[in-house]
Amino acid sequence: MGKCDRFFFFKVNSTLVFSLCVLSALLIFAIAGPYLALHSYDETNLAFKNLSPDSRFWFGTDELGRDLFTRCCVGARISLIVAFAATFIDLVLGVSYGMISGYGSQKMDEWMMSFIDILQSIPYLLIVILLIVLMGPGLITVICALAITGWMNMARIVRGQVLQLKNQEFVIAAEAYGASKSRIIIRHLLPNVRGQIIVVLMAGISTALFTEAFLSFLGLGVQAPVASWGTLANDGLLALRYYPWRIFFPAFLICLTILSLNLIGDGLRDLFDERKKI
Amino acid sequence: MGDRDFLMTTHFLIKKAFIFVISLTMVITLTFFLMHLIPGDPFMEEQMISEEILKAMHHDYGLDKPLIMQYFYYLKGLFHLDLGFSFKYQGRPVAQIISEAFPISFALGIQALLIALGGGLIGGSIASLYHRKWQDQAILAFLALCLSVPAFLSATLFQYLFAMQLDLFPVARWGSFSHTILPSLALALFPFAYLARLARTNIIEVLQQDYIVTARSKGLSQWEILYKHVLKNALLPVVAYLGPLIAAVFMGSFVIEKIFGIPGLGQWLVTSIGNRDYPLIMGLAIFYSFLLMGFNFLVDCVYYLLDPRIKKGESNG
Amino acid sequence: MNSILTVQDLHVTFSSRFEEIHAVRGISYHLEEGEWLGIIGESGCGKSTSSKALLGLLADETVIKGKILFQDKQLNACTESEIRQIRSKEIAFIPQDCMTALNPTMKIGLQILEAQKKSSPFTSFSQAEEAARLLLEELGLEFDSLKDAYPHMISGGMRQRTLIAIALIREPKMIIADEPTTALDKKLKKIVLDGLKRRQQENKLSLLLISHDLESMAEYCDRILVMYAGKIVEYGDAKTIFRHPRHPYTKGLVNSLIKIDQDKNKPLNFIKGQPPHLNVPLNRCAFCERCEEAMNVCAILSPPLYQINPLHQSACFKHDPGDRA
Repeated sequence: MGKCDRFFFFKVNSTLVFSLCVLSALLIFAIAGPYLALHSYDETNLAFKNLSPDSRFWFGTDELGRDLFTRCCVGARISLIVAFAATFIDLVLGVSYGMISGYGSQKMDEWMMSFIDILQSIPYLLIVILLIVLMGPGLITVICALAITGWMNMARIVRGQVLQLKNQEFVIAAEAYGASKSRIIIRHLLPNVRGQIIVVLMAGISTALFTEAFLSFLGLGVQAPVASWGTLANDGLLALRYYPWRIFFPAFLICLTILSLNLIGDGLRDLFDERKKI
Repeated sequence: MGDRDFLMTTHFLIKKAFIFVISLTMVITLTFFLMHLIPGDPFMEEQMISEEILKAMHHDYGLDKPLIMQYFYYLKGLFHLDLGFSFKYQGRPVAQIISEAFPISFALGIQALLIALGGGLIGGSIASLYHRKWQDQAILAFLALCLSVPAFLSATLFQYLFAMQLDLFPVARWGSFSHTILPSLALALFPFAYLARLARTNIIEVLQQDYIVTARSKGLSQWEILYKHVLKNALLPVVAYLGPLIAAVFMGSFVIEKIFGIPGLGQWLVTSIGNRDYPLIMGLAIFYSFLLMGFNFLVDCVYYLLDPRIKKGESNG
Repeated sequence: MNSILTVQDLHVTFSSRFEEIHAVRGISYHLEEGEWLGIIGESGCGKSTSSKALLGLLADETVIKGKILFQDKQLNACTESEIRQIRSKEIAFIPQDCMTALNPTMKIGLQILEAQKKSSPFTSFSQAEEAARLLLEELGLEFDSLKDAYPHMISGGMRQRTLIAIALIREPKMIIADEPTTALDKKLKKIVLDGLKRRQQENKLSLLLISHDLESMAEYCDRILVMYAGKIVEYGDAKTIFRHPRHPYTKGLVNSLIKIDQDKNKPLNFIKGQPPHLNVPLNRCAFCERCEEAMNVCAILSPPLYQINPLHQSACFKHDPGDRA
């Protein structure tokens, strides 16, 4: 497929473009938001408590009079940082493990995959519980919990791709002229696995985001005074009947981010796999 | 052929059961030793207790014995379904707490699963009929949306709209059937969307296979083809997904129970972690693991029995 | 002699999001009752597509234009239930790819018996089983051992014969067979083709056979149709086409057959080049780029079918009867 074909497809696939715009908007929101807002995120003022959204407090306020808009921006930062950090660790760990396992000897591959199989037989829930109990709830714990479980999926996918690629002509050719194993991995295998990696990455970020929100909502994730979207939602829960915006704004933001990530992931997957028009 | 089939099936089942038992033991061991490695004394959190009472409590809970012995005592206890006593709620056996809360969570989970399975499969089948028509995009968009809504958003939305504002259902707690509707719907949303999309994709893929052309050439009608040829082949991947599905339902239930104030296992787990109530945490963690791994074992068996190709794979080594 | 099947100006177009592919660009032929018509051509020339189109077995997004008449019924204007009736009783289709044409999770016995459920001249299940047993015996297979087997457990040759059995068991008036003998060795091929020949002679079975196998076609078919790039290029009596091919493409095909007494040192004859892509309409002879006898007119106009004699037609400007200056 030539380059012009890619762009044509891009234009045709409007959901992908739209989701990218939404995601970019959210990123701007997270990064620049607190500077644009009128109040700082921890400025409490009991005179303004529990106000519904208006021109001064775009998202309203919480029970301590803090501006929800700014808090959501800051919450965005935390949620997104946690998600990206955990996924990044998964990326590094998973890709290296998958590459080595796929490209190495049969024996090594068997051992490495058996190791993953055994690890994966332990329920994810249990690992999360154990980590939280061991390390206490908090930002680092959440990142660890996410990272420990996510890399295995990436490793499997990368390994599968490498197994397919390693018998193809260009790899054999490279081996024939004496390229070292690491050179082959970096120059030849990696670029061809890129597509799959990106797709899994998107899915990974969205799962990480969701899980962080989930844990924080239950009180097991990041702890006060750090605020993520999940904790904000948790704060707003008890006030649902009378001040519903306090939970709906953060929850809606979570939903929007996950939606755009999912759509981007789907769109990218379709882009890289043009045979499927399903 | 029948004898060989029987032998292979038995071999498979025994192997899987063996793996299940080993994994479960591993999980129990891991949980036990990790819990006991945590520094600090569980009782110190409470109030200032005198040395003697502390010693007595340690003795009561068997904490003054060597770790290995505690481990074997625990294992022995497991066989008798005795999971020790809670630290926080003194004197209450963990097993009792679980047996009270489990039926509630189970009811919630089963209801949600049935809604998700039924709705997802039917919805997916119907969705596949609109392939390549304009409704396809709308359906896919709707499903994508459902997949992105976290459980706590769907639960609070439902609660706010249907219970608080429209007053159609009770807001919280558990009791009558109408109490169960909103929570199970909220819990079922994500699995429903996932299963619907999975079923739709698989049905469409199967419909493009050559053997469907053969079936059409025999003069079979659309419905006959769907029923006899498509369903079995398209639904195998759905069975494979059941394992992760139930894990998702478990996790979702924690949130749902919190929002709707349902006294299920999830609530106990969250509070016990907050309270550092180790016997309770251990008991719940092991119980959950047992449920998850047991369910996965069952799913593996069902999948094996359904797919004739796997049996061939076994015989070819 | 009545025609059981008449195809008039059939066009089949696949439309996808990005392009249209004109797989079949206007073919017309007829099949007499009790006649065996063979269709020859290279991959992609439209022979499978046009045959599937007759029974409406293509995917929904294909556009079919033209007339397809089966015993005075227009097939492409039938309702869904009418065409299903025809598929189950009158016209049987033997698919090409034996690897994928059978349901992998369904037992073979069931797949065979399912084929005759609608047409059933049999009153009971055991009668049907008996018939299946006899039929499979004729094809060299054992019903009892195949009955409970799954497709992946049997060999390619057995799968292909299963597909043939699926067609024959309902005793249709006409069979459309898409390369039904590719997976069979010479002996089995003869058994199958002889069986079909017998039915042709005894029961007046009409056959449309698509194949690459020129030699078998010449031996068994009554008439042959040669297709190239979605059009018919030569059409006529089987022996004549095989012995005296007139169209340059057919000549190339016949010459490419390896003869037993061929000089081993001579290079193999094959037609150089590739057929054109059919995603744009072609207003020229599709074969002219590869044709050794091409003339200037070939690149500008599309040749119609010219009659060489009442039984033999060729779509080549060389055979234009008006061209006898």
